[in-house]
Amino acid sequence: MEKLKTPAKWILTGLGLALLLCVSIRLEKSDQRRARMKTFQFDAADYARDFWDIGLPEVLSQSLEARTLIRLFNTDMNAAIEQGQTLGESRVHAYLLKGSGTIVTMDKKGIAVRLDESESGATVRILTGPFISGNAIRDASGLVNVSDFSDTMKFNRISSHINKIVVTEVIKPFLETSPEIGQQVTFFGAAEVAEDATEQTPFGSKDKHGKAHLLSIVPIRLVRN
Amino acid sequence: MFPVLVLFALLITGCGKKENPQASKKIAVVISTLNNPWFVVLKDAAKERAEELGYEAIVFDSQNSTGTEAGHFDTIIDGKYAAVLFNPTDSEGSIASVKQAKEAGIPTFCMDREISTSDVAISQILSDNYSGCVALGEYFVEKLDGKGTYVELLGLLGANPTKNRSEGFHSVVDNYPELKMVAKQTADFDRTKAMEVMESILQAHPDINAVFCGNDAMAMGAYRALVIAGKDNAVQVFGFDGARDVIEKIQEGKIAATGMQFPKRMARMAAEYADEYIKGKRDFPQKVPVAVELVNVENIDKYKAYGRQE
Repeated sequence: MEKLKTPAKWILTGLGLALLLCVSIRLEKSDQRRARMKTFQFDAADYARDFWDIGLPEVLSQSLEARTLIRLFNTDMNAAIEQGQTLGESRVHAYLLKGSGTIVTMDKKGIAVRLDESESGATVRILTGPFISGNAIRDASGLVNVSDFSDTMKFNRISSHINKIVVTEVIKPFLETSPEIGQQVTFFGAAEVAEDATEQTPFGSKDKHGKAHLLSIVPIRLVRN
Repeated sequence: MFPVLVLFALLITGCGKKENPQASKKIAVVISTLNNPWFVVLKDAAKERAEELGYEAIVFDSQNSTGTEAGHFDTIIDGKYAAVLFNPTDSEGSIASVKQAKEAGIPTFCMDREISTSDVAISQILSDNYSGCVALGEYFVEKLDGKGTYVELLGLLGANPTKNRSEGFHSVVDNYPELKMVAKQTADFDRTKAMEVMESILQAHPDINAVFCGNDAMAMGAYRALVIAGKDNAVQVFGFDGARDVIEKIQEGKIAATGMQFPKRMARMAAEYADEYIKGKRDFPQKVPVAVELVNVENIDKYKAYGRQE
C-alpha cells in the first residue's frame, strides 16, 4: 500500500467504503428477512400463553375500579374514553377492571354482581358462559401492538387463544366452587365498551326492550371470598 | 483529486438513492376492482381527498388480477408518482408490487385490505374485519336463537378480508352445536356469482334458516336467489360492507344485518398520510384497524350507505 500513489489510494479507499455501504444495505435486508421468518413461525397459542403468564400479571395493577368506570361513563364519557385503550380508529374502548361485590343473579352466560362501595348500587355482569369471544383482554392490556404482526389474522388468533385460557383456567374453576346468589366475589377482568350503546342507554338503565344495560366483564381472576 | 471525489460520490449514490419521486404532484389510486360499488366509493373518496390536498390523482383498476396490478405499478414507477393509495388484490400476491415501488422510492399506503408483511408499505389502514364479524356472529346467534342450518358464502380466497371475516364469524358461531353449516362456498365477492352459487345450494338444501355472506354484493346476490326460490321470508341474510342496497334492504326488513365499514374514512386517511409523508413526516403506524360497526333494524337510523349519519 505504501508504494501506491496517493490517487490510487483514494480510489481504493473510496471503493472499499462504497462496498461496505452496499454490504450494509444487504445485511439490513437479510435482517428483515430473518424477522419475517421469525414471524412466519409465529404460534398464537404460545403467544397467548406467554401473554397470560408473564405480560398480563404485570399490568393488572393498573386496573380501574369497575364502579369508577361506570360512574365516568354515565357522567363524563370523554374522561371515561381517556382511561381506556382504543384499537386504531374505533368507538369501542377496552379497560382492565377490578372490583368486588355480591352475586345478585346467575344464568348460563354470567353472573350479575352488585359492586361494593358503590353509592348507586352499580351492578356488573361477569361472563361465565361456556365460551368467550371478542378482544377485551388483548386490547385492554395495551401489550399487543397490531403493527408488530405481518398479518392481522395472527393478531386476531391471539384473542381466540386468550379466550380459551379464560374458559379453562378462570371460569371452569370458579363454577366448580358452586357459586350462589348472595355470595361475595372478587375479580380482575377486562371489558369493551361501545360509545353508542352507552350514549343511548347509560349503565344501569333499561333499554327499549326493558333489558338492563350492564357493564360486561371478561374475568381474568375470579374468586369467591 | 476532484475526479476521485466525483467517482466516490457516484459510487455511494449508486447504492440505493433514487431520484426523488416526492417532487411529483401525481398520486396513484390503485383499486382491486371497480366492478363493485363499495370499491367505487373507496376510489372516489381517495381521489377526491388527494385532489383537495393539491395532487393530480390518477385511478387504476386492477380488475382483481395481480398481473394487471403489477402492470399498474410498472406504470406508476416509470411515471415517478409521488405516492400510491393502494387497495391490494391479494394479501400475498400484491407484496412484490409494493416492494418494487418502495425500492423506487415511491411510498404505498394500503386502504381497507392488507398485504401480509409489515415492512414494505408505509402504513396500512384496514377494516377490522375480524372484530366486525365477531359482532355479526353474536347477532347471528341471537337472531337464530342458537340453532338451525346455514350457508356461508366466502369472498376471494386469496384476500385477507375473506379469512378474517370467516374466522371472526366462526369464533362465535362454532360454539353453538345446534347451529349447523350445510354449505360453504366461494362467490368471489361477486353478486352474480353469489346468486348462481346460492341457487345451486338451495337445490341441495332448501330448508336453510340463514346465509352469512362475506360482503354485501354477495348478500344481494344470495337475497335475489332466495326471492326467485320464494324463500326470502324464511331465510335470514347477513352481509358485510354497509353498501347502499343492503342498507335499504335492512330498512325494509329484508336483510337482517351487515357490518358497516367506512371506505370514505379509510380513503381520506390514506390520502392525508400520503400528503404528510410527501411533506416529510416519516413516523406512521404500520397497521391502523378501523372498526366495523354492526348495523341492523334496531340501529339503522344511525347509518346511511357507507357510513354513519352526520
